[in-house]
Amino acid sequence: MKTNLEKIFKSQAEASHAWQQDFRLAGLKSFETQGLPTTKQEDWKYTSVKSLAETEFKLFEGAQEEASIKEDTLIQEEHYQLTLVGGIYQPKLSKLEGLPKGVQLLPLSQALQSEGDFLKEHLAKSLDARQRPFVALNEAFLNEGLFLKIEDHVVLDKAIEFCHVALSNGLASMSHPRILISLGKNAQATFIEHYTSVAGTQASWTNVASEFLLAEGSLLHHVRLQEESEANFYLNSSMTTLDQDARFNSFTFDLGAGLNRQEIIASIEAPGAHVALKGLYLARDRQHTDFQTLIHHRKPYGTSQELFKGILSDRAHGVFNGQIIVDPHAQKTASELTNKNLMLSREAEVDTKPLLKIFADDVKCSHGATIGRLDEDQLFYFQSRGIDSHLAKHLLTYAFAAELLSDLPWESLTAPLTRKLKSCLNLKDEVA
Amino acid sequence: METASTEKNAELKALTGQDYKYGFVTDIDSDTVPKGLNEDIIRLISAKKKEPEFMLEWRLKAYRHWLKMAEPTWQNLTYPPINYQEAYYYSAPKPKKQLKSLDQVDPEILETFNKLGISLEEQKRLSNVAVDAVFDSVSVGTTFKEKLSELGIIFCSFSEAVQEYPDLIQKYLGTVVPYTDNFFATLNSAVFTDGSFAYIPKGVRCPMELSTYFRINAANTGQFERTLVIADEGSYVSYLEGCTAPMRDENQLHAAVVELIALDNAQIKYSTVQNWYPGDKEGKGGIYNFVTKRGHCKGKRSKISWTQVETGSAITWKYPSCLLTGDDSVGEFYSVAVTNNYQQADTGTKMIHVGKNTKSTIISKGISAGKSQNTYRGQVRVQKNAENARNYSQCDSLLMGDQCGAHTFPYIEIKNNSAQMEHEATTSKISEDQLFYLKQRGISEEDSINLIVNGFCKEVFRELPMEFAVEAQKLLEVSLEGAVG
Repeated sequence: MKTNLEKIFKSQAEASHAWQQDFRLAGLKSFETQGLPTTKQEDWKYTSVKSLAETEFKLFEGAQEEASIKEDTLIQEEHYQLTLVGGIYQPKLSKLEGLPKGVQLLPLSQALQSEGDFLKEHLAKSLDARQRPFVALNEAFLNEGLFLKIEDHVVLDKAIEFCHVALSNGLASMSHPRILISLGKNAQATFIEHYTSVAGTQASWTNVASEFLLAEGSLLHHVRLQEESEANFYLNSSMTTLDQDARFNSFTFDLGAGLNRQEIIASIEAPGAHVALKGLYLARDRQHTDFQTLIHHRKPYGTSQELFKGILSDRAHGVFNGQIIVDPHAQKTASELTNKNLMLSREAEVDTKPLLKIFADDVKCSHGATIGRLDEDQLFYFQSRGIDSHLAKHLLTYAFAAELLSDLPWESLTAPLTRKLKSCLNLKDEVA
Repeated sequence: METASTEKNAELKALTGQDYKYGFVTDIDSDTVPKGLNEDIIRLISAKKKEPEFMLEWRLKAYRHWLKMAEPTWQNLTYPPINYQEAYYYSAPKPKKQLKSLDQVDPEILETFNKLGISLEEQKRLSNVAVDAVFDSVSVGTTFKEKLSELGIIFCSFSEAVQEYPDLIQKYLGTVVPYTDNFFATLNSAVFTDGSFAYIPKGVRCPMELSTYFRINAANTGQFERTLVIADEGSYVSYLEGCTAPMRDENQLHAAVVELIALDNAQIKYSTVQNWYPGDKEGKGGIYNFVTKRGHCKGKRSKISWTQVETGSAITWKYPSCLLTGDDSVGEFYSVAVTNNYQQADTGTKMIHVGKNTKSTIISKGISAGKSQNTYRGQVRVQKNAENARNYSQCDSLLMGDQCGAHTFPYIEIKNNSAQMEHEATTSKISEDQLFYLKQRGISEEDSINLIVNGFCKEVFRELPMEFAVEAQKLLEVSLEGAVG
């Protein structure tokens, strides 16, 4: 990967501003200083990027629109949509018209031209690339992605769906989408990220970095669905900063990619903010899925809840590293973190590490983690009532996971996501 | 409200401000080798202890390996770099002729024990405890030995064991904690001066608690203890370890190693009360306690249980672990770790499940007050072939004061899906409601907090032998009373 990095770096689309070029150069430099992470590093203890490092990637070229993409890329037709294929913006697959006043939704390449000053001021201010080589690399290729800015007191009527289709023609390709969302005071929005790929092509690599800036009293519902092909690499780092009384409500649903690693960080920077992080990961075959979450309570009266569930079958490997940090003086913080894992096969492996770092005394913090397999008694109960063990297993697994799909921000999301879950578990739609 | 909080603060200061009660230096002649560390020093230590050849070789291997190692930095601790060449690696009370009774012991040493409240005579007469008192690295008195030897139990100082039972030492030394294990254990392997050795023969239930009191005395002497306990098939032993140390300005390094081996159906219960000098209120001085403790449940249905009450030391780095290789073996870890002022503790356990149907339980209670940092770091690992492994972990932290920290770092690594493991942790402060409830019934704030803290630690204290439980509660009172913010 490293060998031709300089060349690829030079080959990318020209920068719109001098600062953008400096930004890219700084990212490249930072990546080169940090190098690729090794399993000797605490944060990468269980995840090796060797296979990623050994693959030669180039930037995706050519932007042919494939009719087949349209069909299964979108979760819901009626959303506002912004679609990238191989990291390149597709106006024909996007739907940006009819946005209410006070809402700016643009592909990042356009925003870099029209909103240069705003981006210069806010981009990479909260997500620190110094300890994150892949975020640095994302900065080095700053070009495309999504820009969303909502003015104070604006409440969006429909959800916004960002769709990224990974695609390789010929050589393995990589894409480094960048997302910046800024919600004004008391603004409300629902943002859906959907990562998918077109089957049958070379392995590709999606390396996302996002920043969500939530002003006082704002509310962001967030859903991320990742279902790339098992040959692909998927890395994502997202950072949410919350001002006073802001709320961030996030659900991550992870099904795809051979190597999946997501870093989800939320920082409570003013009193009274609330963070809810939920996640469901299903891994099979030789998939490796790794979640690193951090909820940082910097100010008092913050609350956070986190629940991640994993289902591992075949030789899959699940890693969960959840951190809660409560700074000194962030009193009256209440925080809960739970990670539950279901191991469906003998060869699966789970490494979980829920961390608490508490520097304030008047807090209520807890974490819990469980790892186990399906309950024999429950399976027997089903079988004794004439349901074969195969179906019984799927039903119990479904029940384990379905809890997370029960209170999604938009009811219209429940049906398509439940369908995805069922098809993953080989359950027919009419069952359960 | 204002006055109440000032009063509270005054009370708090009075109580947390208690000086270390057991700080004093006994002036006796020490036979000390030159400071610094090199192969000659190691040869000198080995020669002074009249060790057989295999011991010297083992020490030198460890030393040569140690030179290649780097001090670990992953722990959640901060301390100034240690200059290992500035320490004295051997210090023993002047050699005396073999003593038959306690009357022959240097009266000044006996005086020290009396100050600590562990008069040997007293213990010998009144309690049913055999004491192998380690005074600055060399054992000076061992009691109840005859009674134990009737049962075939060997309980003696490590140096004595090396002389008398070299075959046992050679067979078991370093099998649980190899000399290559970690920086501090390797250092210990190279320079350890003494320690305790216990061997419980097949089918014997040790009739009394085996107990050792450690004491660090000569200035600048790093204390390197080595303990080896072997429980042969079907035996049972309960081992106690407790320590206090004199007040000292310069940081003292302590890097002990404890190895436990339990064969088929054997049980070892290892209890520790640690109350070394924690440094003064400004965090000056205090012991650096870098200890490697590990038990190997080697036999089927064997069981090792660690119980620790940690109140002392400026820095504690300690992870009593269980390696569960025998089928149906059981590992347990019960811990209360208290930190106050500028103390730092990074402690926890490792439970490595290798055999089938192995079980482990972890109960850890951390209490932090003042400006201290208290970290639980634990690992539960279930290996591929460890069918039906079971683990339950519970780690609770209590915070007193708004400048301290409580951290929980559990590592859970599961490679077998028949494993069932649960981990839970909570962090909170003493509940105002509970405090109010007790106070309105006429119980003083001090007593209320004591009650609540004792309740918080009860699960661990009840695992301690009775006399230790009393001492532990006392220690907790001294360290913490009223330290609520």
